[in-house]
Order: sequence, then C-alpha cells, then structure tokens
Amino acid sequence: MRNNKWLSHLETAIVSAKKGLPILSQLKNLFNLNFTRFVLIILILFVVDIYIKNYESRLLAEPAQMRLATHEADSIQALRQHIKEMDGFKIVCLGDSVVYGPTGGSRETIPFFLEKELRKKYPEKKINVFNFGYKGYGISESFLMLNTLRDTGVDMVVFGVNTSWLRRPQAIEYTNAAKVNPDVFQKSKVESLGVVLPAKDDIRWDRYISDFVTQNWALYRNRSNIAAAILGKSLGEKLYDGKYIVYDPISYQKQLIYWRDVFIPWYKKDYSKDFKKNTRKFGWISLDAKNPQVKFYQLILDLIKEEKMTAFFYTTPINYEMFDKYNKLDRSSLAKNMAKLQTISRPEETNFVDLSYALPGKYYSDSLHLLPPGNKQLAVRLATEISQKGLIK
Amino acid sequence: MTVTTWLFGFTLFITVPLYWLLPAAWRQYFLLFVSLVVLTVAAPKIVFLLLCLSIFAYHLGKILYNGTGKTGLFTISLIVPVGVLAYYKYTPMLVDSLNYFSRLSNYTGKLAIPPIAVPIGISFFTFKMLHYLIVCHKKEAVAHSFWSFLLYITFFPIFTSGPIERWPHFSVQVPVFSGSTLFTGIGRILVGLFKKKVLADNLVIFANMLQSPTVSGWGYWIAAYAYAMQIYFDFSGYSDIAIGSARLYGYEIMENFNWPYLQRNISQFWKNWHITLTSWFKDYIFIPLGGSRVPLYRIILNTLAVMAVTGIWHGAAWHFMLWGLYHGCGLMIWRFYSLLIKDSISERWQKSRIVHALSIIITFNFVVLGWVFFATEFSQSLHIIGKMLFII
Repeated sequence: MRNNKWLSHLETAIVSAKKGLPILSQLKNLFNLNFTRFVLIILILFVVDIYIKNYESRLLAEPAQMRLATHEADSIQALRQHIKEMDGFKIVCLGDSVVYGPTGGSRETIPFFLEKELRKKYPEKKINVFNFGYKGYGISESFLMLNTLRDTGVDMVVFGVNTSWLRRPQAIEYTNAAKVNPDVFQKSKVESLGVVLPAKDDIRWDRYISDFVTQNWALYRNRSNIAAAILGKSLGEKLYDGKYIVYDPISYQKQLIYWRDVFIPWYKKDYSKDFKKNTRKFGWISLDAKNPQVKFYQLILDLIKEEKMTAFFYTTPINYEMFDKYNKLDRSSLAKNMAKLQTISRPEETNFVDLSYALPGKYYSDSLHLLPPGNKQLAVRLATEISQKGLIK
Repeated sequence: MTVTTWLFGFTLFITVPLYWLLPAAWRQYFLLFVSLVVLTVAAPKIVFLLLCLSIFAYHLGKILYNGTGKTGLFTISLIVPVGVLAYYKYTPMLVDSLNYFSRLSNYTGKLAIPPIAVPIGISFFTFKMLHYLIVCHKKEAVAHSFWSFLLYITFFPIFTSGPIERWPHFSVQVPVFSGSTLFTGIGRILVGLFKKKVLADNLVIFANMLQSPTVSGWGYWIAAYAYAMQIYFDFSGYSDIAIGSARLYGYEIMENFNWPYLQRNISQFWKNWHITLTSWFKDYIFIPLGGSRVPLYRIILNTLAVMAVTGIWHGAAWHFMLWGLYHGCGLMIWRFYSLLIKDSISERWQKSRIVHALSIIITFNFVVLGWVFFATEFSQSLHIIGKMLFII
C-alpha cells in the first residue's frame, strides 16, 4: 500500500515535470514578455538601482565600513570602482582575515578604526580608508589585490603582513582578483612563478563595455553583494559550502565551529588538542628566496616601487600569551626572522614596522585574530606610526 | 565571440533598432555587415577562411543545382569543408594518436603536434555548408544571391554555438517588425542568460568533482547529476540566447532542445537533445547509409557509426567517440527491446503512467552515466564508472 502511494507520488511528480515543473512554467511565463511586463521590469530595475546607489552613497561617507561581501571578482571590482571614483586621501588596507575583521561587525574592523583615528588626526584632509582584506588572502593573493589597484589613484597602501602565510606550501589559492583588471594586471610576473591564472576572454572591447556597465549600473556592480545580503553568502560560496558538506563534511564541520566561536576570546576556549597536533613553533618561518610566498612578497615590493605608492607595512600582532601558554613560541627564531624580514621589506620604501608583540593576550580571539577592542588598539597604534612617520602630506 | 559576452549584448543593443529603422531592402545587407564586423572583431583570423569557403560553397551549390547530378563534383564539393574541419579540428588528435601507437610499437620517434588554433564555430559553419551543398545536389533549394548565402553562414547570433540552421528554413523567412517579436526575443535571451549564468555556471562547482580521483561512489553520482544538468543548462542556455537574438532581427531559428531529460527512451532523448545536430546526422549520414530499411546487422553498424561520428563531432578526443558509442549501444538495446520484448508486454502496462515515469528515470540515469565518458578522459571515466556502480 505504502509502495503504491510512493509510486503514485513519483508518477505525479514526473508527469508534472514533463509538462513543465510549476516553478519552471512560471519562470517561462514570466519571461513571456509583452510591452507592459517589459516596461514593468525596467521600472523595477530602475527603482532598485536608485535605492542601491543611495545606499552606496551612505556607505561611502565612511568607506572603511565596506568589506568585501565575497571574494569573487565582481565584489572586488565593485569596491575597486569606489576606490577609483572617491576623492580625498585614499588609503587601502591590504591583508587577510585579520584586516577583514571576522570577529565583529563591519564597523569594528582595523580599517574602520584606522579611518576614525586618522580623520581625528588630520581633520583638514578628507581621509578615506578602504578595507581590501579578505579571509584566507595570504601574501600571494594580496599581490593580486594590489595589482587591481594600479590605476585607481591610491595614496597609501597599509599592508598587514601575517608571517604565518610564509609557511603555506602552495603558491596561491585564490586567483579571482586576476580577473578584475586584466589591462593593468602583471600576468607575466605571476605566471613566471609557475602560477596558472584563470583564462580571460581576450576581446578588449568586451572588457571596455563590461567596465562601462560596471561603472554606471549600481545594481549590476553590486550583484554579488546583493546575493550575499540575501543568502548570507554569494551563491557561489553557498554552493562551495554544499560541495564541502558532500565531499568533505569533517572539514566543513570544523570550519563551521571555528567561524561560530571566532567572537569568543581565546582564553575561554580550549586549544590544547590543536596545539598538541602541531609540532611546529611560531617563529619557524622560511624567508628563503625560493619560498614562493617570499617571491610574491618581492613582487609586492617591486610593485610599490614601480607605482611610487606610499606604503606602510606592519607585521600582524601575535597572541604571544597564548603561544607561551602552549609553549609554541620560539622567540629567538622569531626575532631573527623579523630582523631578516625587515631587511627584505626595504623599510625606506615600505616604512616597515614589526608589531608582533604590540598587543597583550586579552585582545585576541585566537592566536592571531583580534577582537574588536584589539582592532581599535591596533588602529590607534597604526595611526600613531603613520603620523609620526609623516606619511600623510 | 560567445553569446554571453558584453560585446554580443552591446551589438544587439545598438544594431537591432538600426536594423528595423532601415528600409526592408537594406536590412539583410546591414545584418551581413554587422555579422562580418562582429566576426572580424572576435576572430579576425577566421574571416578570410570563411569567405573563401563561402564563395566555394555558393558557386559549387549553383553548379550542383543546375547540373546533371554527377556524383564526382558533388563528392569533391563535400571533401573541401570536411577537409577543412578535419585539418583544423582533428589534426592534433590524429598526430597524438599516431605518437601513442608508435610508442606501443617501441618506435622512439615522435611527431610534433602542430600548433593549430581551431577557428571558432568551425563545426557549425562547415556543417551548414555541407547541408547546403547536399540540398543543392538534391535540387531542393539554392541561394539566388551570394549575400543572402553569406548571411546564412555568418549570421552572428548562431555562428559560434548553433543551432545548425537549415538553408530552406532560413531563406524563406521575411523578417517583419512586431512588438511580440522583440519581446519574445528579449524574454528568450533572459531565460538563456539565467540558465547559463545562474544555473550552469554554479553547477560547475559540483560537476568539477568528476575530475577528482578520490571521490566516493555517491560523490561521483552527485557530480555526474550536476554535470548532466550543467551541460544541459549551458548548451540550452546558449541556444536560447542565440534563438532569442535572431528573433530580435525577425528570424525564427530552429529549436535545439525539447525537455530531453524527460523522455521515456534513449531514442526519444536523441530526438530532443541538440535536435539540429541529431537531425543533421540522421538526414545526411544515417538515412544515406540505409536508415532502418536494411538488415538488422547493418542497422547496428550504421547506428554505431553515426553515434561515433556524433561523439567525435563534440570534441577532438577519443573519449567523445566512446561517449557516442555508449549511446549507440543504448540505441541498440532500445531497438532490441522494441523488436523482441515490447510486444509481449501488455499495452495497458506499457501505457501506465508508472512505467512512463520509470522509463524516464532509467533513460535519464543512462544518459547521466554516459556524461562521465564525455566529461573525463578514458581512464578516469572507467575509474568513475567503477566507483558509481560500486564495483571498485
């Protein structure tokens, strides 16, 4: 009996599918356009576009509160477009999740507090800070991100160098930024390091039209931001989550727990298992010229020089109290390596500062990520360093 | 230039209003001009080859249409487009295969694979030319103007990814402006963009798992379903955009898909999947080989031959041929079933909706399994099939 019922459901489903699923039929019907529907669609798009433009202009009063909604090329392109169009003194903060600020809201990040501090220090200047950091964006990804800024008239680049990335075995993980601005992108330099970049349709006219549409159509420019606002993430990222749920559920669960607990201070969490597994100590990094991350770091330095950008590089502060607690900090190696990194970093061009021990443990969510008060403290320190060095003229 | 690029959309946006503002007599020339400009911008290297082949096909078509039906000239006329297609698309594959076999025979020499760039749309425009020459030879139709023939070959909305329009269907059309024509076209383009950009492009994330060597059997099933939907939405999305764009200029292009995954047997699947290609092979290869009116062993051979060619048409690699042969075997099984078993099953059972539903499920899953051969290299496809059937 149950079997028959099941079969009859199946039968109904398939027969209705053959006729066209209700949703598909409706969709097909929706696009069965006539004059009235066409005008209605255009009007709706127009109204939504105006709303988004208005929303964007409110955000742009304090641009540092804008974070990349996703790391897809169109999100990067949207923020890049704002950087290009804004006036005033433009500062771009580059880096990974520490800069992005996953431990709080978009108004609790390092770039946001930095903007506030610098506006206080330089009220006569129209300081605009942009958060161009993203989760998982290491040194190599940061080079790609910096590349997209080549024609945007940026006045200063503030780069949070997280030395943990120097231990990453693969050269690069995310190459979305390479799709953003191929006309100015230093493709050959990246490919000389053996990195394969995504293929791009090479019709120049197509890119010009695409740029024109992106500049003038707010709704299109913000499409992945809108998707992220509706779904929590972009559709692509949602699907990637789905892929991990199917193909690597254990890692997915771990990640889920990590991002859930990122708002809690480290001392309320137990890291003993994680540290037990890891035999390496913080400070053991390779600054060998063969390390692909070092090569990318050199490319960043070259680009800064080439573009004559004012730069301020600082090392991401580490939670030394936590590392000490678990006996995972090799202070002498770290000191040696920081001295070496300082030499490599051409401090006369990058104004490199080592801030490894800048903040005590109470400000951290884990070994590296700062809680919002920590972000504020670091921003105050960065603003002080920037003003002492006279980088804003 | 593919139909999802901005340049394509911009071209439509600018040229459609201009096209309809022009006097009717000028429109065809304007559309030809636009098509040639688009092709020159997108693939300048192809234009000369295309013009030469078009001049050749147009004049040969006229001779064949007016001639006495001698097969020698007809054969030569077919060899040229086939030769061009073979040279550009299949030379690297042929050289690679020769190298492989020479390695097997312990011959150490190796032929260099020629760096031939495959011209965009070559599989489509050569098939349109071959079709045209055949209809001329059969004296069914002929182009009375070179320009209208050139427009048929180069018509930019359908140039890169079809459908493979037929000359008799295209040439009789007289584009007339109407609001419904425009809105149907725009609606169809929007549906196509949704299929391609939202559905197909996002399904790639799952479909790509077919390339991974370390996935479980269930994982491969999910990837294969995703690939099946992705390739359908991708290709039918392209077709929708092409058909919708042509509609904006007042042309009705032949349909390419009709719910292929909801068909109750593999024969029906092929009648509804890439319809213009399937009907091309049926009309110009299967039927000339004898169709279904020859002994059973010949039908088997003909079907396998046609499906092997269908496979290799999709890409210059042997796994595409394997995919074609897989479907050839499916068609054979269906034919045997129709001949030997079908009649012994009661008509009521055959017509029952449950059997209908189950037939669709079986056909769909057969097609899904086949996509593995299409999507991956030979050894990887065997590994995946083994895992999917839980043999390894």
